[in-house]
Amino acid sequence: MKKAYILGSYRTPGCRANKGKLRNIRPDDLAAVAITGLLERTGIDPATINDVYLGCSFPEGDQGMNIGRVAAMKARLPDTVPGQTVNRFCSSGLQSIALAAERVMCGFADCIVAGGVESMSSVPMGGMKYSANPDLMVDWPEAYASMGITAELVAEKYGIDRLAMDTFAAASNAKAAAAIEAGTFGDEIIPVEVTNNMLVDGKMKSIKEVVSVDDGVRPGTTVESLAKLRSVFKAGGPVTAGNSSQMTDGAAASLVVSEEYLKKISKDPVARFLAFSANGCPPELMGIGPIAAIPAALKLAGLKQDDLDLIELNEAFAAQALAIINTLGLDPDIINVNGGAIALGHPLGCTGAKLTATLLHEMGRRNLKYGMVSMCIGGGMGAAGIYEKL
Amino acid sequence: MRQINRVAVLGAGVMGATIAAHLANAGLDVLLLDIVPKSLEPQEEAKGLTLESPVVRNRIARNGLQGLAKMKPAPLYSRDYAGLMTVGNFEDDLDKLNSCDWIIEVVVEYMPIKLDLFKKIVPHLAPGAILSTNTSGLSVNEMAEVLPPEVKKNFLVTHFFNPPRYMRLMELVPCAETDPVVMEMMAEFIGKRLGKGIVYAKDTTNFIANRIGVYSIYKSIQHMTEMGMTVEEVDAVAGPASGRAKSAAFRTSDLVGLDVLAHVGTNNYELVPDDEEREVFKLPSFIKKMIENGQLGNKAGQGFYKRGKLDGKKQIFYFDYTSGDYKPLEKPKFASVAAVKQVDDPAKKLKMVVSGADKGAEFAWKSTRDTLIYAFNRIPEIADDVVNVDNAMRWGFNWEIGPFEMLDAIGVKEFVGRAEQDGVAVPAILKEIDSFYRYGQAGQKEYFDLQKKDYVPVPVKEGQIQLEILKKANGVVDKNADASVVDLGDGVFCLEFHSKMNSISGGILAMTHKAVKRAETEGVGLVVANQGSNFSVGANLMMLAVAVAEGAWDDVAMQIKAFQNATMALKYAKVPVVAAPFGMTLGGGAEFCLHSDAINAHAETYMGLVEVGVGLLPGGGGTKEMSIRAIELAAKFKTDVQPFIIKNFQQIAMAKVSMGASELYGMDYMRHGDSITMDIDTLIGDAKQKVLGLAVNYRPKSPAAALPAPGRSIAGAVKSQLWNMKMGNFISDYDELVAGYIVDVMCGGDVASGTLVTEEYLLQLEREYFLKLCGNRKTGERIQHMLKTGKPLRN
Repeated sequence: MKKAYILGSYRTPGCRANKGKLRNIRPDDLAAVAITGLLERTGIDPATINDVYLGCSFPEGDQGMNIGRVAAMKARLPDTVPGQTVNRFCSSGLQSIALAAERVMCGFADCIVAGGVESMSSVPMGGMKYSANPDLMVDWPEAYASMGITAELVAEKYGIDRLAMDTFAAASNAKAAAAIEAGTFGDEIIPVEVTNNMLVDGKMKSIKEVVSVDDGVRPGTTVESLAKLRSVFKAGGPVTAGNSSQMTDGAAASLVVSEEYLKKISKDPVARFLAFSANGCPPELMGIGPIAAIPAALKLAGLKQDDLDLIELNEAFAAQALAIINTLGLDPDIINVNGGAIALGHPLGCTGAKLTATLLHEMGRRNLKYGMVSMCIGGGMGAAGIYEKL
Repeated sequence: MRQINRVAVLGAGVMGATIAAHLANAGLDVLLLDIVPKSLEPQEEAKGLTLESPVVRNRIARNGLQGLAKMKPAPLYSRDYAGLMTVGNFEDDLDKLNSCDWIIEVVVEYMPIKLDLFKKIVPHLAPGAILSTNTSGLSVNEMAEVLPPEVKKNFLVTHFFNPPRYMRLMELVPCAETDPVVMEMMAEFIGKRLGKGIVYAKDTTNFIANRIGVYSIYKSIQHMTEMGMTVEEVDAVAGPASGRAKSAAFRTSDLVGLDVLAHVGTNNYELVPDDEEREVFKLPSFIKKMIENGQLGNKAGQGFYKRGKLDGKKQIFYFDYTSGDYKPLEKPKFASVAAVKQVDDPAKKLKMVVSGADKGAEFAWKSTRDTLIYAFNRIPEIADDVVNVDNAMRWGFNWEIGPFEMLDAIGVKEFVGRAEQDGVAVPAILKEIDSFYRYGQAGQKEYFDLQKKDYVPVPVKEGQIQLEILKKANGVVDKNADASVVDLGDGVFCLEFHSKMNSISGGILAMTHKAVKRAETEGVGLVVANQGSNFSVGANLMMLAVAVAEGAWDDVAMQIKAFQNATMALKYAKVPVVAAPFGMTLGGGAEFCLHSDAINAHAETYMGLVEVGVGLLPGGGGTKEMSIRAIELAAKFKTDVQPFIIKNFQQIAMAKVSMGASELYGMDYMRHGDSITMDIDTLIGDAKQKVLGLAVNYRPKSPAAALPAPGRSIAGAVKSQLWNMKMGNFISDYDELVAGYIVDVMCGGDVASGTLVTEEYLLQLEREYFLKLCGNRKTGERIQHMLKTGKPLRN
């Protein structure tokens, strides 16, 4: 099998859905910004791209019409470059990279743009028309367990209490705030120019702004301030908006290339893609999906858990993140060192690609060897992808 | 005549702001002004603002406006209406007054301040603009002295009662120079557009309602202490048992505030030295102490009553004036009060209570006796006639009947006899009167005019229909115990409910068919209306409960089919049907409205399909109707039916009740072409006019024969959300089941989306699921619980 490399990995800022700074930009435009930024930063010839894979959890409405292809056209890639949309809910972005890498490893492609996009301002969780199979609802209603309920059930089953969750959430905000303050994300973020319109005294004003900072972080969040929040998913339950991930708009893209391609353009990759695994679990406990996926991916990569130097573990909920950390015995000190989705947001189908960019940049700064991106997935799944820094 | 479109309210305290809100409710443009603050708030200072910054200068008025959103009960029909109000201040915005047609002064009750303000605004008034004061007791003539003659003509008291949206009373008082034409115009405008009940008062301290109402409370306190009764015992008698407000004497005091009560009483003591009952208005020493202690009533969290905890449970305490402590409620049981619990007619209740033999009855008699004599002695001092006094007490103090109606209820002769036996001085003229009200030859209502010493007609306004009078004048064309068909004239008939609480019974269902038939054969249309305390509290549960308890399923099936037949008869009548709901319009009452061609609702209509509270679904066609409305909306826009079904489903599943008629448009219970009447007096008249309008080109409808069913997938989506709510403990297992049935009916059953169904098929589904629910033990428990406690059971 051939080897697959990451030549570059970048992301747009993650901004709060409906309230944040990316609320007025279309998801296809946002994805095009990520693709264009990736190509500028890697400096490759767009005509050499074999395909564009874009992860998206709810690929309909503004994210519909095969956003993978639409975004490629919006980024003005040549019409010879095809595009597809990839969906495995919250792992879609990572799944795109894995699919691209696997195709390269098969020798069927040399250069693929792989990433993800989600504008939760444009298409809400559940999509434009939520549906559930009426027969499944009779004999397996858990199939459609809401994410919040799964977090409550995981908290209950794994004995994660409110204080532990709020402590985890406060730490996430503190780490993210410190990273932003220090400009840590400067290298990985592709700034986005947005235009907002406002009717002022009967005249439509256009206000342009360049957005380059994640806007969902709440500096100064404390365990005490989080303790005041009410349960949202279960009456009296420990899961609150404060210890859950935020709804977010964002896009991210990586360039997945072959060894031959690197030789041809005489460039060094940032990392090698080693392995990916997605595994299923009970849908009502979807948050624990990574408990199966992480060991599976490590096995495919031929690594042990201790070999991992840095981990981006998506914080869908503090409840499930803690359940995974506790169960697998992961080292908390190497997880989400710059904060996680509780602070920085979780743009569903973009998240895997976004976390890859964050992981690889931090590995570069720290000069670490093995890193992992992992997340739980609605419907009862987990995914993990492993990278080796070169 | 001047058209009133824009109104300025001067003073943005609670009263000013809530008056402004009600003007916005009526669709008027409102300018709300108050003083410029004298100092900066710390946060203003932090922002670098100064006393010259417009935001700072308008702060007081703006705070008044913003405070409306938090008030309960809501002063605005809809939050959106706040957009009709703009704020400003007395320094920078006076020039805006010249665009206002009516200016209402609602500043502090202190004459020098009011006079200063009048002097300040007079130069800015547009010619012919109306100026009024909302004073509750200061002299209008004294105020008028500072006004130029051309403003005096347009100056009067417009005294709103708190809260202005909900209290119907409006006391109008002219000054000596007020143009009678202006009085007439304002009475009509405030009645029609603001929905207030007009009472003409005079320039006397505290006007009518507060004068008598506060006397009544003070006198009750005196009787209470003399008879050694508790606060709680007095309230058990001084409420609906004796024709008074639900809040009786002391809960009313807590509501109003003890400080306000003391202020009004002291005002009376100081300013009406020749009042024969002057000493009654002397503030009792224990109340003085309560005020000093900050026991001011609801606003202070403690007054005559206080909420607290006893052994970890919520408990209400009453103030024991003998010890100065709060004691847990003891729920006093007076046989006299218990005896009238089942009686609806307040006149009958009063007569029964005062005739009782216990201490409660003795108190009821004594306090009623003294209040009625006091009220009688106030004519012509504070009002010209008994009608204005009775209206003032009903509309301003929520008495169920006014003092002179009380005298009639007891019987004037009987009253006089008993009062004289007590050794109480009875006014001589009272002894010569048989009754204060009577019905004339043509059924018209007449009152005894104390000045003319003769009966004269009670005024009726244009467009006002009084069923009571029509019925006395041979207007009834059909009748059973629970409903009547009344001829409203011009070919319009009225289906009137008059069952207990206007619950929909077999009698009403039977009369519905007769009413439709009558209108079809002899008239042009039908109004569904009544003048009870509420339009309808829903279907008669008792009837259903008995059948369910006996397992008489055929009987239940027949009952529900009969209900559907009645609502369908309305929907497909060959003549237009207009429903005129007001107050509580729940369950079956709402279903009657939903099946009418149009709704002409009173502004205060609280409508909802609330059947889930008793473990049922709307079975009188309501579930079917809201499904059809969703299907038709989607078809109209050629779009997905799911969001419409979900919205209509949620309203039923959550038993959502409108907090006023305006909300009904958003709920799709009212639609384009329906309308809202502010003045309850003209509600039936307006509905009749709507029937006449619709009748001109009426095209009868026919039942829908090919409706695309929303289908099972939508039901699946909803059920998955219900499952999640159940998992989150927000709903019970049974709530999930009931709601699941509702969505099954609305989706047309277990069929693919787009499957063609008929209205009759949906009705059949509605019946089928209704019966399934009736057969469930938990529904039986919910029904029993509702009948016993009046509250829904969550099981």
